[in-house]
Amino acid sequence: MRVWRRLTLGLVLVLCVALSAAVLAVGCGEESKDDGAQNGNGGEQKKVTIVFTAAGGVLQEAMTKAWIEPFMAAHPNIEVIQDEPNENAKIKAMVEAGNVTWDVVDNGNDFGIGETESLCEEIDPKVVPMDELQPDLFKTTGHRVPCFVYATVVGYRTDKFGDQKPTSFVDFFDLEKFPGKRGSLNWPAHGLIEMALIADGVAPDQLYPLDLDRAFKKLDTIKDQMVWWTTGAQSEQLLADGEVSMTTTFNGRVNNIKKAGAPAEIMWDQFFMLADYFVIPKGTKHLKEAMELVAWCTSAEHSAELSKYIAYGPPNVNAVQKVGPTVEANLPTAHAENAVPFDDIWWSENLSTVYDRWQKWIRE
Amino acid sequence: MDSGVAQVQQPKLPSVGGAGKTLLKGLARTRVNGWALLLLPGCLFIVVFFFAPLVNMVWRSLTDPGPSNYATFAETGTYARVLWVTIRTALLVTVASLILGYPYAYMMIKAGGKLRLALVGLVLLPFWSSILVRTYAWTVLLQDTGVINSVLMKLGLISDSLPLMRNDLGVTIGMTQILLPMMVFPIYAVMRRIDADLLPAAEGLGARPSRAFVRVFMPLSMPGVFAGSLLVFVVSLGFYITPALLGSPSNTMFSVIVAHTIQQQVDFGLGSALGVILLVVTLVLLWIGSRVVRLGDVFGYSSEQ
Repeated sequence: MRVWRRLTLGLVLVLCVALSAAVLAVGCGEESKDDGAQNGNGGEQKKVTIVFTAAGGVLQEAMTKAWIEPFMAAHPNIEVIQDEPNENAKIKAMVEAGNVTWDVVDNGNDFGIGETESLCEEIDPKVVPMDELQPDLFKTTGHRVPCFVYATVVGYRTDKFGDQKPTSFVDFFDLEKFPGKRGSLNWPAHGLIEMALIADGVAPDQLYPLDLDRAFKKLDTIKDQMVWWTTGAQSEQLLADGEVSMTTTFNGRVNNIKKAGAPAEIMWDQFFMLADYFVIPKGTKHLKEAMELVAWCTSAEHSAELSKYIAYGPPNVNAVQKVGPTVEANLPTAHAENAVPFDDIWWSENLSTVYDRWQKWIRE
Repeated sequence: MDSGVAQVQQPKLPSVGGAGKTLLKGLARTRVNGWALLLLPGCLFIVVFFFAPLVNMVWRSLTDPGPSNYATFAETGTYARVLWVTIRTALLVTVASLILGYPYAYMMIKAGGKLRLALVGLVLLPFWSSILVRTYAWTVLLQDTGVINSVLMKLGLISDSLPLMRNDLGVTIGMTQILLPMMVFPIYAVMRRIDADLLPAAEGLGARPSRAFVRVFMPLSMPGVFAGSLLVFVVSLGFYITPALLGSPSNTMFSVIVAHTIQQQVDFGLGSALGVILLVVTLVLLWIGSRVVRLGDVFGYSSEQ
């Protein structure tokens, strides 16, 4: 009996160790890379399922109605299922583990370039209309495709400055003419550094490489009036409650609080036009279908569909005029001539240096 | 919990490393029977979801791209500063919880049945609602245009709004509310076992009530104070969203930096190294704590049976 008891304990221990080893092998190893067998023949009959991932919420609902559902209707052999939220780290983990379960991902402007370029499949310019997607504005090195256009804007309270209203980044830094606290995201690659340089006299097309000494010196002048936010929802709340008189935020956020009745407005006279990008994680088992979905959503025909459901513009230059006039005023693409270029690629190469300096500065 | 607490009464404190030795001896002596199989699911869970990832993380911090990750930590002053802020925040919250929690626990001892139940409910009730909701609720109360400031201004008591959040104060208020139960219950559990006749006995021997409390009751309740403090402190070290929403950037906690490194910079090696550092610091602090309080009492297991 006693022997049996010992055996039981031993068994438990051995199982634990063995399992631990097994988990580690799968976790670290590359060997599980190509278990997906090619079921090449008979592809026309068989329904292929691909996974589309975005940030979730109202944006992904809009994408579903604008792109995913029509795409499936037009491609009866492709089924698109969805996951959320998109996370840079998850894509990297999938690619490294050789187990890619996302086929098309809507990502922010910080992925698919620089060091993370190698985590994404190269986009086929024969399938996807790359040259219609304003490559000078939405830079890519061929591993990401702009899918919708949004803006980082200055949102301001219309009830705080009398009959004045801010019309440039200079005004954001002018605490006498436009009193009150200022909000901004606690993250260097958000536009505030660029705003400081422009307010200090740098021409918008001469921003990069950023002169950090000059930028932080300018930022020092408003530092004690800054309120830092962490989430987009927080920026909405700051402006809606009047905690700040001006804040950097995303154009959709100001629209939300305007709809809710707050006296707020977007300063369209100077803003950053940015895009979200589609990437196809490297090692997808459905490269062809994924590429087709990317091509569909960015085509001149469908790029503007999203604007029917949410205040984001189309990146495809041939789709801009397809947006209905009623929604146009809210779209960044309608104010394109006032947009300041934001260089994602410079940021992807310099983020860790600037992040370090930013962290130091912000807590000084 | 109860069996652990019962032993708190025994005055002897373990020597350094004593708990570990006793545990090993205990294992060697333990006779295992078929019931040990019940341990299997728990063991498997811990191995698969905790131990294996942990080993992976340590490995990664040393190999991706190399041990230089730790040099980055040492060279970049920011990380050490954030680590210090994290420890300081945890200390502040521990002290605040203790100041609020000790009298509260004492009140629970003194209160009769129904009142005690109400007191337990009051401290537990917020525990059951989402941390995020509670944190946003604090924002509504504490911000410049918030309830507290606007009421004070309408009453004419202040002309400029008080800085109640986006500083240490806001972070401490928000985190203390969340962690208070973890302070109150260990203290209460210990206080409940203090012989109620000791205080009258001390007074009978001529001590004033306040003196009897300080000299007799408080020393006996100390194991609960240590246990609660250690628990609150350790849990505070890992806080994330509350300091981000109620504090300023200078209140950024270490876990936020880890998240940024993994999520935005996609630097798994450095992120792993930072995770390992936080873990090691926590273990060192726990070890220091273990010289004063038996960890078994804090985390609800006991090394002696």
